[in-house]
Amino acid sequence: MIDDELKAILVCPACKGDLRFEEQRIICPACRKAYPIRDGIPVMLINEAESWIGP
Amino acid sequence: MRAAATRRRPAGRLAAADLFEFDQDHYGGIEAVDVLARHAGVRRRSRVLDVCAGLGGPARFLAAGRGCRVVGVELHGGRAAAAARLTRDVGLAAQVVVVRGDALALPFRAHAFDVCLSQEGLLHIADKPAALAECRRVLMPGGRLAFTDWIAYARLADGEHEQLRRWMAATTLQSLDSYRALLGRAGFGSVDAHDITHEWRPVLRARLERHRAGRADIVARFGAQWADEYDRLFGFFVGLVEAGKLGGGRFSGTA
Repeated sequence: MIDDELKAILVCPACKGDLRFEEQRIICPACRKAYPIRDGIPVMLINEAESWIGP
Repeated sequence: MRAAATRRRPAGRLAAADLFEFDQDHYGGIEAVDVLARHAGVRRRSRVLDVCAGLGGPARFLAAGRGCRVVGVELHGGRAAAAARLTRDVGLAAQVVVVRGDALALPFRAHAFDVCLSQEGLLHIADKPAALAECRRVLMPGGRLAFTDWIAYARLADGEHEQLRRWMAATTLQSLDSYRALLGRAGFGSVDAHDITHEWRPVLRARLERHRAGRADIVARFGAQWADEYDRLFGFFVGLVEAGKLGGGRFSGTA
C-alpha cells in the first residue's frame, strides 16, 4: 500500500529512527511503537501508536 | 464535492482541475498556490512537502501542473482520508501521497524534501519555533520553505486574540516582523516577508458574502444554528481584517 518512495523517507516521529513496514502497521523497534495504517494512510502520530512488544 | 460530482465527464472520470474550485481551502485559490510555488522554486523534479495539507487541493494542483511529487501531511483524520480519496479519484495517487502527522513531530528523514509549503496552517500551532525547526530539518540545505499565514497587527486587542483562539483555534499569532525574526532564529536565510492583507481582503469579503447569499441552502443542509454560528465567527474574523487588526503574510526562507 505504501509506495517505496515514501518508505524511503518515513521515520518515527518520536525518535526519527528507521521503521519496519508491515501490511497493516509500521513498527518503530527503538520506541517499541506500532503506527497504524488506516485506509492506506500511515498514521504517524505518537499518541495514536500502540505499544509493540516485538521479537 | 457534490458540486464537483455533477461535473463528472461522460467517461465518469474526474480530473484534478475539476476540483480546483472546491478543494482549495486557503485564501486565494490556485493562483495563491502558484505564487507560493514560484517563491519556493517548485520544479518538475522537486520533492515537495505540504504541511497542514487539508483536503490536498494545493498538492494536487502542483502535482498536476508542475509534475512534481508532493507529500501532504495532515493532522486531522477526516481531512487526510478525504485528501487521499480525492487524490485517488483524480488519478494522482502516484504523485500525491497523504500521511497523517503532526507538524511538530514530522515523520520524515532529515533533508528528504526540496520544498516545504504551508497555507494558513501554522496559525493553529502554538509552538511556531518548533514547527519551523521541523520544516528546516526535513529540507535539503538550500531547500526553500514558503508559507502564508495570518498576521496580527498591534491594534488587535488581547480580547480579540482570545476570541480567535477560542472560536477558530488560532494561537500565538505573529506580526510580519516577529515571523521574520522566528524564521531567522530557526536558521532560514534569504528570508522574504510580504504583507498580503490587501490580496486577502476581497477574497474574504467574497467568501462571507457567498456564505450569506447561500444561507437558505446551508440552513437546509446543516441547520440554522450552524449557519448562524459560522456567520458570527467568520464575520468576526473578516471584520478584524477589514478593521486592519488582522491580515495575511507570505513568507519564504532558504534552509
